[in-house]
Amino acid sequence: MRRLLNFFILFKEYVVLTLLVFLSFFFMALSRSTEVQPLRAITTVFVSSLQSLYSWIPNPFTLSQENEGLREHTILLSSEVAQLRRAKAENEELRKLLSLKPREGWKLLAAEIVGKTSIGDRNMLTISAGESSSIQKGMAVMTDGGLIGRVYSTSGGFSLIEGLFNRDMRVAVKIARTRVDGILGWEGGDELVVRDVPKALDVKEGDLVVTSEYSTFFPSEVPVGMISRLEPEPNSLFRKIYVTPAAHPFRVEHCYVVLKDATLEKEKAALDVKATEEMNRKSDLGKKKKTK
Amino acid sequence: MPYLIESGIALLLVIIDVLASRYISIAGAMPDLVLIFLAYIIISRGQLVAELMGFVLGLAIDIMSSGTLGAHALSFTLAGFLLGYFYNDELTKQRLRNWPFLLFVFAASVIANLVYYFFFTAGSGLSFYAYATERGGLGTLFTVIIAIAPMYYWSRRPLY
Repeated sequence: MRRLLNFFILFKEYVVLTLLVFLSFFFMALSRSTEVQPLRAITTVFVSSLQSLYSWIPNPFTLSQENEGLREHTILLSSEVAQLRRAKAENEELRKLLSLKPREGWKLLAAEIVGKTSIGDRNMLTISAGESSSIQKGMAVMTDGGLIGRVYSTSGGFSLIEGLFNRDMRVAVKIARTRVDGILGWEGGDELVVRDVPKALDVKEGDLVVTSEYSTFFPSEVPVGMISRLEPEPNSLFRKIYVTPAAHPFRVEHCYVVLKDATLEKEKAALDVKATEEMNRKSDLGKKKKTK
Repeated sequence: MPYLIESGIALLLVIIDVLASRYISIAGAMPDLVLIFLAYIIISRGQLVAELMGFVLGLAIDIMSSGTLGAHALSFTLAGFLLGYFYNDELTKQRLRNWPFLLFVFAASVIANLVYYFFFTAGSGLSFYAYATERGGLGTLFTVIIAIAPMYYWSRRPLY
């Protein structure tokens, strides 16, 4: 026992290092588990409360950039609104002719960004709305420009948003013009990247990238950004698509959370049940005819 | 008492690091105030305290920033352990007052960033060159520049 104690004393730095490294890996394994969610919620409340105290202090660099962007955006929007109104009317008429269901609407909740945190390669935003405003983990967050992230954790009056510029963020997207699908991620810098897109597919610089209907978290057709450049992957049939985000998460002061609309969900479920019943009825009729 | 004051300063720096990043970052990179404090601990307290303090401070950052738990804890622990080999009790004050302090800050930042990259960032597709130039490198440079302030403060104080 004494020899063991002597050994620990002699090599205490190494023993402590081994223990700390082991503990670090243990915490890493725990990091995404549900057990640590209460801790996340507490820290979200604590950090957000502190951030909300000084969130009124403007960041002059961000403000001027945001104002500039907004001015350009307003000019573009005013011309697009007129075009979209015409397109919407035409679309509704064509949908009626094709007997398609109308597209689901979004229920948006406005929130103020009270904090922005950038540690390592994780960029997080804190917004002034939480569980009390029906916000849930995984909901999409956007601005008038486009998608900026999704809800990472939420507490009473605040929510933590995982921005697009994040190592772990993956978004199912498509090119609006040609409906080419891909997975969007971030590899550092001011651009987002869609990897492994075959060179043969029709993709051009300036194409709009929107969220895909295959996405679990995000509603479809939300603008994500514009293709800024295309880069062939060496010795491969694929290429990388670089996307300039439509809304930069760190240059915005307000955002909207896309709430999952309970009534729409119910309607969707009821329609699904109806469709299944109809299919069953038809198959029963078919069987009866055969037996006759 | 000195330990209590140091713990208070450490906690304050963690809070500033997490909360004020929006105001002190330039081109996406920000100075790591906690690493400056860790360099001070390495020089003044030695290897064992440095690795323990590195772990505690790193874990505090991970918790406060909602990042991967243990990521900063591991990188700061290893930085404290490796640089702790260069601890020399007799040179503590001279090192804090002169350029070796900046060298310790630089080395701590490089080690912490390298560990962080190889354990947590490499798998995401971000190339080492991009990480080193855009985030780690710029952040390290920024941290070293900020570290001149405490070095200047210590250099103005009497040596003994």
